[in-house]
Amino acid sequence: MTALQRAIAHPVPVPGVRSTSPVTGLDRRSVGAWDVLGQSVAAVAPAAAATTIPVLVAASAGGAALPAVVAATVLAMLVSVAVNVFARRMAATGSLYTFVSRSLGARAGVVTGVAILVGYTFIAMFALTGAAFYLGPLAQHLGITVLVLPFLAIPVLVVPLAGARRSTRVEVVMEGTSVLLIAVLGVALLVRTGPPDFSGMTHAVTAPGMVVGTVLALTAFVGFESASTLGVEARRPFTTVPRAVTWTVVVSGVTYVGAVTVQLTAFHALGRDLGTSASPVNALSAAFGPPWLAGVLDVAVAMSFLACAIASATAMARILFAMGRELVLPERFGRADPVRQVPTVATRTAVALIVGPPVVAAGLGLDLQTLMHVLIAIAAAGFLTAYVLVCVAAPIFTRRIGEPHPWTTVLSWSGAVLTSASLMTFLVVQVRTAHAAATWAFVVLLVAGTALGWLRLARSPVARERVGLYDEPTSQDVLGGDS
Amino acid sequence: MSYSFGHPDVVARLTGVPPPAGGINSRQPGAILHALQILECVARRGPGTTASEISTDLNLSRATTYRLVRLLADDKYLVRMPDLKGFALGRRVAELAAPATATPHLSRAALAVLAVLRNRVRAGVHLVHYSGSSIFITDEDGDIPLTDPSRLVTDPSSTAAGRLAAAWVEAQRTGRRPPTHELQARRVSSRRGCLALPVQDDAGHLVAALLVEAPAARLKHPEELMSILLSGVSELTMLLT
Repeated sequence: MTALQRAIAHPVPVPGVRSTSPVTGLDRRSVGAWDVLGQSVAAVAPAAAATTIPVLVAASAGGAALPAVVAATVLAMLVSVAVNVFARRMAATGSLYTFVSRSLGARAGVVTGVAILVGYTFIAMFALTGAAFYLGPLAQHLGITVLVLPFLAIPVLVVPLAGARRSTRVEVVMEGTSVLLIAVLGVALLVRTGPPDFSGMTHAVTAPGMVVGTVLALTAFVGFESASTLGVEARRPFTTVPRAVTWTVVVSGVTYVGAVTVQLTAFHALGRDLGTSASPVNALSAAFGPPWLAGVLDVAVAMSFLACAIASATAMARILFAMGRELVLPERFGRADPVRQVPTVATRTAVALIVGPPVVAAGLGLDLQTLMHVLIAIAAAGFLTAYVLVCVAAPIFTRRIGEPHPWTTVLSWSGAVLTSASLMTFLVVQVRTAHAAATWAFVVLLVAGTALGWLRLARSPVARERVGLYDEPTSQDVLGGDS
Repeated sequence: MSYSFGHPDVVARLTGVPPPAGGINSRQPGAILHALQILECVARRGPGTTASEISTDLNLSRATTYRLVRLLADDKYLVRMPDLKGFALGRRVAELAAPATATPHLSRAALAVLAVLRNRVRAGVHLVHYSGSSIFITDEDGDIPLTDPSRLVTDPSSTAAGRLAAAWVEAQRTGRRPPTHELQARRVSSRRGCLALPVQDDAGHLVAALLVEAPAARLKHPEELMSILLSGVSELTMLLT
């Protein structure tokens, strides 16, 4: 009789296995691989970023725009290695918050949780504002400028409440359409301008330009880890979630490299400088395309932004849900609707936080573009902080669970060093610009959130013990689990 | 004792690819062998065996080991221990070695009861049996088949039948009254839900369950449905146990 036969005939009792999963109540294993990928891609919004980020990078990095985008892709790849160390091993809803808690402890986890929540909240507000900004000309044409933001807020309020399976499907369709449209237009533009001249794009690389450009380009990748909030709801999560995270970085990287190449080539053909253009995509569509093209592009970008807001709300709700179950937040955040299997309170809170401020700001008549600059700066700082922590945490985690991996250690810790350098550069650069308030707002939010979280941990031994909760195997899954 | 692979998709799942149309390609058998050796190794070392211990024991590279344990964990042949350190055998390995169970013979009377129920409730009425930890379908509604029968095997805890079994075990453990029914809305599709009613023997063991798949709206207030079904359940109890 082999050991396996013996184990099956007389299972060894496995202690410490619960009878129900701590995240019970969600619609487990219901989201397919494509929709999981859609969640991450939508949170990044490559279509919107491909039209908005290249000009920012070109303005700061000068001649180093293309190398900076490539460097940012590599950096995002390093972070994704660290994220996947966890995503391959645990199915969680708390994403980086849960991951870091499991490795560096509850306190570091709370810092990560606050940082990533700030990231998702502000990127979603940024995206919603962005959608309204890009639909501005169209709305003006129709005479409904005031209504455009509240109108766009409706899908953000409604879709995440329909559950992960449906909201991810909506995200896939919206983001997929926008990316395809942008890609087709890019290729069409290249056909008109002729092949790109790569040697002309790398001649003026300077070190400071490269660093600042890379950091700005990195902000175009934030959100790629959001598939890891669907750990519980994804089918075959240990395979689909890491794959979605990696492919999101690849898809976004290729889109951005393509977008920068196309825009530089086209501006070169026009004899103008990309970095000084106020609205490069509109300038290009006016120069090369029919008059209605700008309108189509605006709609595509707005759709991409809207998908980003929905994806960020979905991700944020799941992190709040995890915190509710752990009692780090009030218990009601951890409740799931028994019929719809959606974390209702967490989702409602998330969408309210996302929709409220931009609608109020637009109502007060604030300039949407300035608002977008501030929002994205705060969001990027939040994400980068969480990325640094997860990169530090990954190798420690693998060693602790007895699965050391030298390559992962090297890649993750390189990611940690480079990402923290990027974060510092980003904060310093922001302080010097007109949007210094963004840096201070981020610091205040992070410190205040962390302080509240630590206070909660100090007061509640239950919360302290529960932090890092994930979809544990139950006695139904384990051979010999009932004893 | 004759052992058989419980499911034809086992091979494909172990290697992480969908079943290829032309059969297994030449590189996969090695991975299958390693996967089985990994299961054997965890069985030998007991719960809490870490991936690096497996890699040392089997002289496999770490990367290969991590990849295979991940695939095995994805399909619950292995489960990671709650503290994330090391693995235990998943309940699904029992399927690998389960003696091929013959489907219990349903008497004509039992089939007649099911036919009457199907006429009366006008929804998918199915009968499943429990054997150890696994659930198998004994009589599926031919006109309105189960939406996703494979879930009963791959993820029973997300089905009404699986949840009923879990609740039953829990009730027996804590000495409470066993549940009268289990409802699972939005299991596979948002429009259809599933209601599971227990069929128990004299000793109070859960033998089988009557499943009714119907539009979620109909299951919101299942009282009317239940009154029809409960009479069927009591007849089935006489016929099946």
